[in-house]
Amino acid sequence: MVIKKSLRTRFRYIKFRLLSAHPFHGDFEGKLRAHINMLLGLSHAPSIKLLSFDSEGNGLLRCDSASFTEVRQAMLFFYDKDYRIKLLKSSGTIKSLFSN
Amino acid sequence: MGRFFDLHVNFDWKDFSLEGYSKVFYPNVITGGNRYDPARINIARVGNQDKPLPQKYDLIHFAGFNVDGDRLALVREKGRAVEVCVSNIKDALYAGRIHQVRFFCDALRTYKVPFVFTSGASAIYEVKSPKEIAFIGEMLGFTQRAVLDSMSETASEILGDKGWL
Repeated sequence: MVIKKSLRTRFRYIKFRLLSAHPFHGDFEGKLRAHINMLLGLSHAPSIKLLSFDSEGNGLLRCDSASFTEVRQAMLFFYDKDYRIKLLKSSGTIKSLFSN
Repeated sequence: MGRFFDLHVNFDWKDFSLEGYSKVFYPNVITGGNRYDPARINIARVGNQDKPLPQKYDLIHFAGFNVDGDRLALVREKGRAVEVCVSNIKDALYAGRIHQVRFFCDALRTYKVPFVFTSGASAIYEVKSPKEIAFIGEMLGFTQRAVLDSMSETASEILGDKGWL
């Protein structure tokens, strides 16, 4: 059986930037996780991990490749009048996110 | 890269090019009357079943996603396009009514009604880039290409000469 390379890749990495009117205080990962769980439902809450998030709002998120589409959609709807996430790039490897 | 238009934002902010748009529009909204300003895009905001369609408009915006197939067939007959507003999709998602949006989008495809995705933003942080709207459209069963075309080619057809006033 031939398995595609994309299916063999376990994780998917999403580079994003939080655009915000004010510095974002509090537990950003917790807020994002709560938001994703609320939208997707706790029954199939995907496992996500915030690998980095700096004071300028640049962040890197890791999720299972199986739930990548759902997580991306949830991130697209993480917005309000004062902040939003801008998706920059996604890839199966961290290295390719930061090349060129 | 083609030109992208957002036909419906509700606030004045000049630099939309950073989001990937060539131009955005602050439309006139018709609520049942026949007001028509040829220099601006006109969006008819109608209920799902109660009101007849106005006489002159560029885009039709249904107040909710629970729309009859007959209504969509009528829009198709008139050769007009339907607005699919991202801010309304967000509201439906938060209210647990995303299935209505999916049924609505399925009906759009079934009846082959032209559609245009718009942001409907009322603040800077509600503006979505064309690429991000394409991701949202993908969630609703469209292809990314179809969504991008709706903001580029379909929007250009609607605008006609208005696009570069």
